[in-house]
Amino acid sequence: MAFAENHINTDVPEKDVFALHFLQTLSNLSTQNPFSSPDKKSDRVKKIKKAAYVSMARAAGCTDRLWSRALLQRAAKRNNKIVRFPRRRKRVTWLRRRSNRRDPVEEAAAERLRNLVPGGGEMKTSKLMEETAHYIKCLSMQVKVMQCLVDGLSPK
Amino acid sequence: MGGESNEGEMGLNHGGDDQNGISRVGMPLYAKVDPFFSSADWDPVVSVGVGGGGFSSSHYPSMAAMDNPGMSCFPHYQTGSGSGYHDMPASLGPFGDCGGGGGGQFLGSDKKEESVGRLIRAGDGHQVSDDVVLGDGSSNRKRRQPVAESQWNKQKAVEEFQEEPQSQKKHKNDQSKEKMMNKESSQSEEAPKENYIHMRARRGQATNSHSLAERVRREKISERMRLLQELVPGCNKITGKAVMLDEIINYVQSLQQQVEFLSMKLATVNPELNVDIDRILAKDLLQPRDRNTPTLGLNPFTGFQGTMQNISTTTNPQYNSLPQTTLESELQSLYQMGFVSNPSTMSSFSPNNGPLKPEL
Repeated sequence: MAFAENHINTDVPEKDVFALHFLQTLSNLSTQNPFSSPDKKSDRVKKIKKAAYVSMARAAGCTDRLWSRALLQRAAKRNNKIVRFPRRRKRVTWLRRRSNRRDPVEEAAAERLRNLVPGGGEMKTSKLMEETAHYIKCLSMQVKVMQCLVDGLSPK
Repeated sequence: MGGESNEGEMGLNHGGDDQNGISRVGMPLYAKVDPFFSSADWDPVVSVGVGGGGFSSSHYPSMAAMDNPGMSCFPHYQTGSGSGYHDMPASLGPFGDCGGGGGGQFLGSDKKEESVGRLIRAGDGHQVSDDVVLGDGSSNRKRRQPVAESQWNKQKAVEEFQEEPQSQKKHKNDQSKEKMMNKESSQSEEAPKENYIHMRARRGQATNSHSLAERVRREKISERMRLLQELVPGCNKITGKAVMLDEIINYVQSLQQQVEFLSMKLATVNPELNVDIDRILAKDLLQPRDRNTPTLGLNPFTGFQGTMQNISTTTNPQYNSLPQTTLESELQSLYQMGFVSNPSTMSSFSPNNGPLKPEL
């Protein structure tokens, strides 16, 4: 039984793609509220955080990944806009959950992972781990971009 | 965990209770899946301290509660398709080991073969076949398509099965296969075009259909664990799925915390997002890109807008609505609003170019 490694594709785009998306989203954020700068810092923080995640999801390939789709849909829902992706979304049935429950030791940890990774609820465990790998890569890329941004913007 | 089967589906919070001991009544399970958009009083440190499990904020905004990401909160029972398979195992009696099976069992075991061959189909598009033959290889050639069509009411499985008449199938016993059938049914719904993995049992290993499917699944999972192991730093020496998974979870949590922390820093550093972002973006454009990603061009404004059209299919400036069609005119207007800045300011920003340039 031979599994080829190349079937798992966890490539993420280059860093500048992430940077571009993030900056776009941030600038969009600022143009959306041109006259009302949010007084509360927490609002701004939340917006920036949301912008970070959304831009990360977009940079990583909007619909190519389950987690990015789920993330974007969640973001869109919070703004009360219904987003429907053309691909059919799967819902985890309790049967699937039962069949997922093969190894109780690992499934407990897998459940926690499902809660962390967006869209993790409806994946099988193998798919979940694939998505996690891609998600980790994208997250680290996004962190790098944000770090550079903070370094660049902080007053010397 | 007993609560596992219904924790996501019923929208109850058993999972929350199990993991963190915090009972949140009335909120769907995946409200707590929402670390990104939680309320301001979500403290990642606290949530990590609590069991190290999934994020559990004590106050999720009501929006998140009502959110219902829709992924798994509503049960979608496939009892209709699942029940169709119930007659399958009933019709196949229990068989002994195939290795010892005589010729008289071939006809009956053919049904097992093809059903098992379907069952071993995995969602990865593999074609796998061992070289070790179980001794009944020649009997694999017997086709059971009429049997398949009569017994399987899943068209996709039948079609896929008929695609490969000459492939080598596993000759296995067929015990109760309800679980795997359900897995197959749900798998085929989401991956109608996937291929089979055709496996053969290795010598000396159990040829139980269950165990073989289990082995396939376990190998897939371990393969991906290896992949993840390379990603997570410092996990080379860890063996064991549980510890590895814990490490992965911690790493993901730490990355998310870093995002939050950096966004806080950005908020403080940059009270006015407007000007600086434009400057940085424009400054980015000046850096030469030799990659073929159609994102940035050398010519800042015209090139930028020109390349923007290329990726307008995947990007949308308004991230709260995500149509799949291109909105080029909207893009251009938005960029003209946001990105028309003085070229003279770009040169003034060059001292900050240093740290950014080599990084980006």
